[in-house]
Amino acid sequence: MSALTRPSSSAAHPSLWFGAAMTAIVVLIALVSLVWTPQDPTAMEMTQRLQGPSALHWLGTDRFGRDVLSMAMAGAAISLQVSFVAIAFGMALGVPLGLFAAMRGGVLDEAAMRMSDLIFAFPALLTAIMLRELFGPGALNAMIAIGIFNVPVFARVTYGAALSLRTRDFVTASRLAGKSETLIALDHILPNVLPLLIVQATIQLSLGILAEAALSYMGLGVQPPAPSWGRMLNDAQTLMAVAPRLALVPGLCIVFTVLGLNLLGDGLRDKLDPRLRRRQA
Amino acid sequence: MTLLVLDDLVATLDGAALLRGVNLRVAQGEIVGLVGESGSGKSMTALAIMQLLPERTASTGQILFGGRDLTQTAEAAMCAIRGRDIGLIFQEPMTALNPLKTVGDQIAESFMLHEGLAYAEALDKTRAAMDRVGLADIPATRYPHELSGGQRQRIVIAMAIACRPKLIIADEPTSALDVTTQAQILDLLRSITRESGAALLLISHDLAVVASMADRIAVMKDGRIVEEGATRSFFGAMRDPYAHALYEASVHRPARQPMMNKTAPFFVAENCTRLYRKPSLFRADPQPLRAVDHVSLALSPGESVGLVGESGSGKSTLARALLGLDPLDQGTLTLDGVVLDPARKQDRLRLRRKVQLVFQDPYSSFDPRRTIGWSMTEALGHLTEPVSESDKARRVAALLEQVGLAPDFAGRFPHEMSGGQRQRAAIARALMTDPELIVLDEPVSALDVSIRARILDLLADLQAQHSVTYLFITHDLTLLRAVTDRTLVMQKGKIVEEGPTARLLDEPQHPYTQALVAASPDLPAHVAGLQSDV
Amino acid sequence: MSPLWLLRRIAGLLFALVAASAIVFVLMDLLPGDPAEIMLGTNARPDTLAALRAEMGLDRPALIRYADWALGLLRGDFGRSLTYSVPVAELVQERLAVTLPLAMMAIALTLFIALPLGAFAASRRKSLTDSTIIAVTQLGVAIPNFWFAMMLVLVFAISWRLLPSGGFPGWSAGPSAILALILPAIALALPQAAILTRVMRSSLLETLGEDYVRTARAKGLTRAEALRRHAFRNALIPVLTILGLQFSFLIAGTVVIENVFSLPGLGRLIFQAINQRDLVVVRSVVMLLIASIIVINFCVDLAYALVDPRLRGRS
Repeated sequence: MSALTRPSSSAAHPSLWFGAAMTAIVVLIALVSLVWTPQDPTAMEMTQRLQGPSALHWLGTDRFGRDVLSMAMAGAAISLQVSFVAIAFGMALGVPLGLFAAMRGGVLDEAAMRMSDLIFAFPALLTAIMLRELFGPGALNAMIAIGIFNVPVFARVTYGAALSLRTRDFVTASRLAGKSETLIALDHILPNVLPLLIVQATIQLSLGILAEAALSYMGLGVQPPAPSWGRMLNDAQTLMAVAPRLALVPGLCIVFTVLGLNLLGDGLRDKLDPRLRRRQA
Repeated sequence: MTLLVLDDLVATLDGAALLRGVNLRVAQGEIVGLVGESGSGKSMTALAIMQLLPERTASTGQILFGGRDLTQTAEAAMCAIRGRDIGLIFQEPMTALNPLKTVGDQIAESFMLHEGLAYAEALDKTRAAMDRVGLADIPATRYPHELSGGQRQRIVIAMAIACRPKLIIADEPTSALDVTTQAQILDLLRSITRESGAALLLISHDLAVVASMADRIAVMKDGRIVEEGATRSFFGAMRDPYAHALYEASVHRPARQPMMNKTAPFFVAENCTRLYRKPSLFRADPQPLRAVDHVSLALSPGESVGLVGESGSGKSTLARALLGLDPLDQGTLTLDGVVLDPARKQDRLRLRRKVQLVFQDPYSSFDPRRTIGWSMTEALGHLTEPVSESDKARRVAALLEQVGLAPDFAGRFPHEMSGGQRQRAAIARALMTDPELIVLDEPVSALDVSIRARILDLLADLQAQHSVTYLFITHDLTLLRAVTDRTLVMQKGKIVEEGPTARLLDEPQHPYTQALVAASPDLPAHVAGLQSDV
Repeated sequence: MSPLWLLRRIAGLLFALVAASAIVFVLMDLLPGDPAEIMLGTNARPDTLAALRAEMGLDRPALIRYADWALGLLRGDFGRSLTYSVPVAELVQERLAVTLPLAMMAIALTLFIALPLGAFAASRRKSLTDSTIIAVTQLGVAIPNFWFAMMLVLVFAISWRLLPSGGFPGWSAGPSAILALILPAIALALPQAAILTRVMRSSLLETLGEDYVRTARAKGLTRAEALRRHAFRNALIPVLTILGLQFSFLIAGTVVIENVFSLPGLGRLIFQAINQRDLVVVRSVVMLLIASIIVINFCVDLAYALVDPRLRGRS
């Protein structure tokens, strides 16, 4: 009966393909910006201040005469870089923590998980404020602040999934086959948690983009003259009445990127999760 | 007088046929048993009568209930019929009740809905309804999680019969329960229907349960009723080949050689005790639960020993301890004359090489991300000397053949196989290291009856070929009689009775064994009784 | 609720507060080096530096300083601001009068939008309404709140001149004080509401598939009644979890949004203090915000037990 009540949902994943395409565009632009942008995104030209779109400056210029398109392209690279490193940091610490806590399952490991939960009370913004004196404002500060918040996220996901996998019969079978707990973690637990981690990483990347934008908007992230979307928005704020375009461009860049990653995450979840869920059926 | 008529009922969902023309009659006050394997459409039939089929289901045909066609009844009128004229009882008492509401409130809801009572009056009637289902000593203010499975099922029954419906539909009402609880719930259902004059449509996969309850039996397959008749004459007059096969499979006894001359035991567990303590950071739990309490057993080569008991009896915990999966708090394990300490890695490996396990649930016993071949050879190199890839492949192919699977199954993933095929592969995996003892933990209870019979035959064949010992954990006494030489009965962590299976079941000594035997539906005996009556 | 359960929770709360305060102290007071020097700059006169060190008690061991600070916090003594020369507690009190109403308006708005909208979408699963709500929330989740705030200003303040673009006239100004908080509250609430709507919808859909909802239908309840009486409360459990997590985003969001709208709240206070290198203020306000997140999550824990009898245990 259960097979009948749940129609196969894997027929089509429109959000997966939309999301993948949008993300690919952003990644491509970011990569291109590393070697080429229409203009130098940091070059100021006071004679060209606040120009509207033209053949030379497709999206116009800002109040220092910098080319907005070039800045937006370079901003994509910075934004992706910061959140990618931050998520890698969160995974590198969180996944092993969750995995080992679940495999050993003692009272101390539970306590370690509780401690990691405490980090949920430290939003990236407040961590960035605290770390500012330590590292100074900049990309590194943003990466670490966002990364720290991601540690408990990945620890939770891994811990929860590993805990339920650990009691499953195939893990017992592997134990009866003489495998050590470490080998079981690597051979069975991690591969089965991996789809969940991929989905979570996509979602965290999109949250990372948002956090990075907020941090650089507040002056806690990437410092000028390096262009970043958040910084551009901060610059645009006083000019909203004069040149709303300056606020629209970076804002839409953020929305496009985050939307793409979210759609990709949703699509991946639909595609990858049912296989994990079927085990309970 | 006829209460319910299903006339050529057809239902399809997204192009898949759920029901392909069901014809069935239920008379007033009659108990009709509907039997079928998974996917036969028996639950769908129940939902169709209630007009609760999944959304987007298209259906044709008639459902006449007291002369009224339910398929043509408006949803609002249907809501007035559900719960008042037809009561439905579900399989899973654990999930059928809302965990956030008291059981009393959930029963009272029916009275308020259908009889327009105020809350206080409804609670009075709720108390009476709970008394009626044998829950006189349970306060109505309890939450579902505070009750046992059997008690919850009684609550579900109280809800279904609250407004004295003319028809009760019970969909596998006892499948999730222990044998003795099952017997009590079936008794309750029988007495309630008889005393209230309601009709009962009892849906089950278990022919034995249905035969012991129903006035009439209908067998369902692929969305159709293939055989139907009064219980008295049913088993003597089956015409449909499937119905016949279902009966044969239900009473199937594999051909096996009973153990004649027992040799000295090779595996001895002495005085095993396993405690469950609540985890605490600071101090040891002063009153640990004795999950396994001073249990001793000895197994001889080639014998088949049954371990029977209800959930919570400690039989699974004992099995885990024997396999060295959990440490023993007390006691010793001796294998081939050597005392082994499962806390030591070397001893654990030694133990596992000779003692293997087949799980109950074939769906979870293989890693969904690994091929069957990969999973089967996991032990090689860990419990044995390293084995070359070509040797591995050869051994996998040989064992797959022995369990009746083609060699190409080695490359398949678990989700590409049926439950029965997976269970065969699981048996092949257990044989990989040439063990002396295989613990079979309810190896067929998750399988459909017809597949079950074939797996039992396979197990009997393999035992003859490999002269391996089986420790057969089960709750099913009919099965126990069919496949074991000797039986241990476990209750509350202790072995309360043991002896040759046939004698133990025919002349149980311990009160618990007697209760188990009395509660177990015995289809062959029942059928024999019916036929001598005729 | 059994007293033991409550006691354990309270012990957990106290432990979390102590641990968090220790982390804040270590990160902001111990690791960066000499706070006095950071505050005055490297070219400060030695005697001013020494005076500040003495005032801040930097000559004493770290543990004593931590204990002093932490116990002070408990008594409501947050230290003295250097730039304003007033107790930090006074500043906090003044600024809280903006931040707290803003946060509460935002939370209320979030719940007010998300719960009905999510339930509405779930009850019309796979309809056009449902897909529209899904699409809108998908977009809402992707919008950074401070950019959304800027867009609101562009439309409602600059183009239509309906609402103020920033600033706060003070509560004595009456209704115009409320008007000043409307755009900030919307900017904070809508992206959060988008997330919560999705959570509510999927949680309710999952609950509607539960056996006990089918039991309720078999009892004779209509679809809508079953949803209201048996699915809604159960579906709130995952919503609570997300709400607890969202609170930490809300706090961070408030800090940013206050800066967008130049509202004199705690968030603005932090950033003014950062620019003036007033570490005493920064440290205490950060601690206050983190403590409020921890306390709110404690309350969410208690709310779980109110909703779910399985967590209460029978006394």
